[in-house]
Amino acid sequence: MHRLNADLIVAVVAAALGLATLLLVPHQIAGGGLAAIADMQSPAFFPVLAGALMVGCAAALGVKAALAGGERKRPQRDLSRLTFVLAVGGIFVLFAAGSQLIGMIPSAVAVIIVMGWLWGFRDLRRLVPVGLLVPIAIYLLFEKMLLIILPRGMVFPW
Amino acid sequence: MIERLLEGFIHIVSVWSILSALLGVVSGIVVGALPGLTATMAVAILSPFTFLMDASIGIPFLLGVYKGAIYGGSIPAVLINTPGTAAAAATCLDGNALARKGEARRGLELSLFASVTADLLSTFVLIFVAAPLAAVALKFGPPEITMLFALSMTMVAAVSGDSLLKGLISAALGILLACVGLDPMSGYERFTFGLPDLTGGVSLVPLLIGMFALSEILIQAESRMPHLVARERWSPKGVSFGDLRRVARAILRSTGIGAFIGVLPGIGAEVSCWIAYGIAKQRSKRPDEFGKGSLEGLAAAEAGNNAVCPAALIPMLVFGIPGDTVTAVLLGAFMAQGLLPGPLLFEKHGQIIYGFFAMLLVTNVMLLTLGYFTIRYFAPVVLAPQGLLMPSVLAICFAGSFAVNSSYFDVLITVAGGFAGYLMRKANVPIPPLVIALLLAPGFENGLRQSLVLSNADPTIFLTRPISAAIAVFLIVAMVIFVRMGARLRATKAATPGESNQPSSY
Repeated sequence: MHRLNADLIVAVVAAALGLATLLLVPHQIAGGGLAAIADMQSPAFFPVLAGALMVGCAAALGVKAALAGGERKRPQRDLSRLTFVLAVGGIFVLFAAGSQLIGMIPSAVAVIIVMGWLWGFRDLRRLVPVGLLVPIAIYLLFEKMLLIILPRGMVFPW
Repeated sequence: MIERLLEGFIHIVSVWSILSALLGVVSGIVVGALPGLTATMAVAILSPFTFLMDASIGIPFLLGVYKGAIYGGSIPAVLINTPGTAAAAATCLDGNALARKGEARRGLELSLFASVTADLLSTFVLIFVAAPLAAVALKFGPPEITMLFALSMTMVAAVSGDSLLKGLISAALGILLACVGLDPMSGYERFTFGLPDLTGGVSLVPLLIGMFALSEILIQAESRMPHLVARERWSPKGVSFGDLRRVARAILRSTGIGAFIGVLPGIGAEVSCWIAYGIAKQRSKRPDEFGKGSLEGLAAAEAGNNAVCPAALIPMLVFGIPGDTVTAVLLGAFMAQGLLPGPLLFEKHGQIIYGFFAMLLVTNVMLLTLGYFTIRYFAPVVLAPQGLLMPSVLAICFAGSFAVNSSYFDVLITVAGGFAGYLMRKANVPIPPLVIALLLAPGFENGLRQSLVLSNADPTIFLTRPISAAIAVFLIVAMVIFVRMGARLRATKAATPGESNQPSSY
């Protein structure tokens, strides 16, 4: 089995980002175009330079990786780890969405309890109080002390 | 100099500033002692709390957090062989060996004394070097500033991670992110995609919280340890005067190494600790004891990483160039307080800056006192269950990133930064070049464009002016030295037992 060469992937992603930047310049910067590289007063001058640097470095890394060749190793897959990382990433997204929908503090209560449980901490007598106390502390600190109104959400806007 | 220091101290000192510094040191020790929570993460998470405070209260708090966290990282390194921060990785070797011999208290106290001594001496370097250097920096024009920024970004790219090309890709990504928003010269929008939230650019602190804190949570999720177990018992035997005399030379030498490395952009405490440790081993009369509980090894590693903190503030304050990721976050906090780092900072806000210097000395006394009398009470912190800690940190991160601008969009930036940071760390693409390039790019762009306008687009302007030419030569020499040094450092780390225990760094 071939293991995909990580450096090659980095090179491809970086090249794609650099090219995307260069392609976006005419659409995202007024009067911008690749010719702006010769006009230091154009707002597109620096982004074109940065995009070109990105593409150049990506090309060099790609050539270096291709010359080094792919390593022949058995792929080490640990599906349970990957699943858990994806689950935690999913919690980030749900927390962000929940903050907008039901508010940041209620979402934080749910996130702490669910994520703590998934993390393997099954002692509910400690998990639930922490899940309540930390968001309350955040609420008191931000809303009462620093006077920053955290997102209330659309479901419970009061 | 002493007069200005006293004036600054009188200007800044108040019950609130002292209390905030004390709270910062305590918070820093606690966060630094928690395995998986780094000093950068500590400062990034806690910096939004300071934005609504007066600078004389908010900045001492963050300086306290910075110092406390770097020291706090040594507590789990000694007790459970897991460095609380990447800077404490070398501390594990001899610190934990001492703990296994039943001398955990001796190890922790020695690391405290070495840390405080190195920090104190390095603070004096900061005080006596920063202001004169700022006077010289005032003579810099756009070409010199451009070359200095180019030097910093290239050096950070060269010494972070294991590949110069990946470092440069990371820096280019940071520059591209910095292009989002309004063009500094014409005011035209760039890459805003019609979103009003992007007109002011990508919010720095929310992005940093995502890249450092959320990516760390994902990294910790891979190992998913709900509990940590301490095997070492607390011992009555502390550090003796004889111990301190024996390690004095190693502390002084490592302080010099740490202070020098701290001044150089991009090379933080996590590199300095290994260099200090390696040189201490070379110079020791008992090199065979290293890795088996050597007091010299422990003192060298701790002095090496703590001496970096004040020294790294020199390029940040004088040129606005962060020395490492922690000072990059601190730079963001300074800017949020209306204190724009650069040579004019000493002219415009001299009293406040000297006040901060004085507070750095005060936080040293706090760290020593707190550490000496309460260290055994901090020790159990390292055993905080990850299953409770990580979700709580996540909640604080979200609230903190929202609080920066009271913007929900910033929360989305944090989440995106978390995923991007995680993928970069998995692909061994270093994060520091991105962060430092993001901070330096606006100044670099201004300097570059102004220089080219001045010279009618003739790029030789960077080589015909003496200071910028000297910086160009220094850049080339430094690159050669650091590529060689990097190879030697990697060899030292590879040959050192237990090194694999350190957490994946940025």
